[in-house]
Amino acid sequence: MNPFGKKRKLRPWCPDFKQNEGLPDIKVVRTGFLINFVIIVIGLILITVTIYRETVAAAAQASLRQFEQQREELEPENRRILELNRSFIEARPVLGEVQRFSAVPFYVDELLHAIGETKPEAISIEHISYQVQPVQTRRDTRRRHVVQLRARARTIPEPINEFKNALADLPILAELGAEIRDTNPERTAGGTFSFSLRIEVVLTEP
Amino acid sequence: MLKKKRVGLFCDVSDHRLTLLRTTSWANPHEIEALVEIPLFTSDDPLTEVRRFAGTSDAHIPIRVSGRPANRFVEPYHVENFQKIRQPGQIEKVLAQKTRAKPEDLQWVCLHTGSGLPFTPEESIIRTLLYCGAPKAAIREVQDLLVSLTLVPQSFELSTLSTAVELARWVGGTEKPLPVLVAEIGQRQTFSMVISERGVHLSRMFPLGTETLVKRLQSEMGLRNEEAARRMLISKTLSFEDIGERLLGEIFRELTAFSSSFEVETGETIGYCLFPGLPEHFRWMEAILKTRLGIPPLEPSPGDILEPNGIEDPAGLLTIENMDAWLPIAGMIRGLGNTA
Repeated sequence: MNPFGKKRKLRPWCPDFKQNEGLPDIKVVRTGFLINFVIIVIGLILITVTIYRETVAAAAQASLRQFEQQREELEPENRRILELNRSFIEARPVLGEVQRFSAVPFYVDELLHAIGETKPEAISIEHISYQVQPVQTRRDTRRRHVVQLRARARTIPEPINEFKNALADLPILAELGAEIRDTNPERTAGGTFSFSLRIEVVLTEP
Repeated sequence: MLKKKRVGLFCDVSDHRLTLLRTTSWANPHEIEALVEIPLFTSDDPLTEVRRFAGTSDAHIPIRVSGRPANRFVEPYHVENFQKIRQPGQIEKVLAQKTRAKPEDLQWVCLHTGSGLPFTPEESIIRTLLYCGAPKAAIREVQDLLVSLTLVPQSFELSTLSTAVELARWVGGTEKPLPVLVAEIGQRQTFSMVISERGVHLSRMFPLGTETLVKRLQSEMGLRNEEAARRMLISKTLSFEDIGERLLGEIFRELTAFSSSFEVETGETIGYCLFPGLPEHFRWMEAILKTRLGIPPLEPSPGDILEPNGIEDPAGLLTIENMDAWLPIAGMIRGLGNTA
């Protein structure tokens, strides 16, 4: 008869009399395999990451070589375009000037000539100038074309009024909607009258 | 993978002291690393000593235990009627007669002295069976003491049985086998047995122990209470050369009567004696009893016992002086490498 039960290991001359009652349970939960498992998982992750990074790097290298080849192929064309661009940049101010000049809807010399032709006999022009001034508005860019004229008259006011009316009737100025303003005539030491005229045309830039 | 080294921890516990033994591993070969004796009543902090020795601060330290619970019995039974012993319940009936206790209150086994395994009625009959065990409550008491020191028994063997087995093996291997008188002096009991090469020949538990000495010392010295006598007994300040014989008088008489009964019954002379379980501060008892009984002490070469049990002791920690503590542990270790 074995009063210890079948579960106890039987060792000759070494019966175990242990009483389980009152003893703390210190059954060890084996966790060693978890450490192996974690190490294997970390290893697999590292290998996967390394392979992925190597693949991405290889693909990037291939793309780089391809782009390098493309760059070499396109370089002469690019150089030609750059040369063209530089020429264009150099020519651009001239072109702008030409554009601006060609955008003026009248010939300044013709206008000045017409003004001279329109002048009555009693008026002599002392000075005439032409200026273009930019006028910036919110919506667009405009240019103010100003013809400034200083003259003398033997009498007043008929010759001056006649001159103003004749200018207003000029077809070129009438089409452009020119504004004509004069200053009060002043008597000079020689007995003549000095006055100024300002012809102003505001045009929108194309 | 890094793995924490698992040392083997064994202990032999008596009423007076705890002897811890550490081996390099739980498995063979068992190489002895360290051994320490911790007196249970004079140590300042046994818990710290245990933890320091085990090299851990764990709340539970697994250990294999060999103990001497109160009212233990290792008693031979000479079979007279082979048919009768095979009858159901007969083994228990004999146990009840021998122990005067209910079998269900005991943790016990009846060993077949041929195989060392529990006897079954189907087994071939042998002339002598060996009843071993102890009350369950007494075993729990020892276990509770160990648990309070964070030691959790993984197995609990009887030091008395292990000592008897190891001594019988050793005696059987000597040129002139002589019986050995073993007396385990506890606090309130002394278990005595005579071992021959055939095993345990005779055993008896008598109700005398160191507490008997306390009472005697109290009356001899005229002390006011037992506690003062107890303190004096375990102190190392008093010399027991003169008074010792008088204190041990009753135990001496019992042992003399016991050994004489064996010698009269068998006609054999007891050749050696051993007093296991005594701590360092009680070794004077051993010296006095040996002298008065006139029996030479047991002095085997430790190697003769260790080598067959698969134990290596390169540092020479296991000596004749502490043999009473490591002898049962050697039996435990032998059993580990010989699982049936």
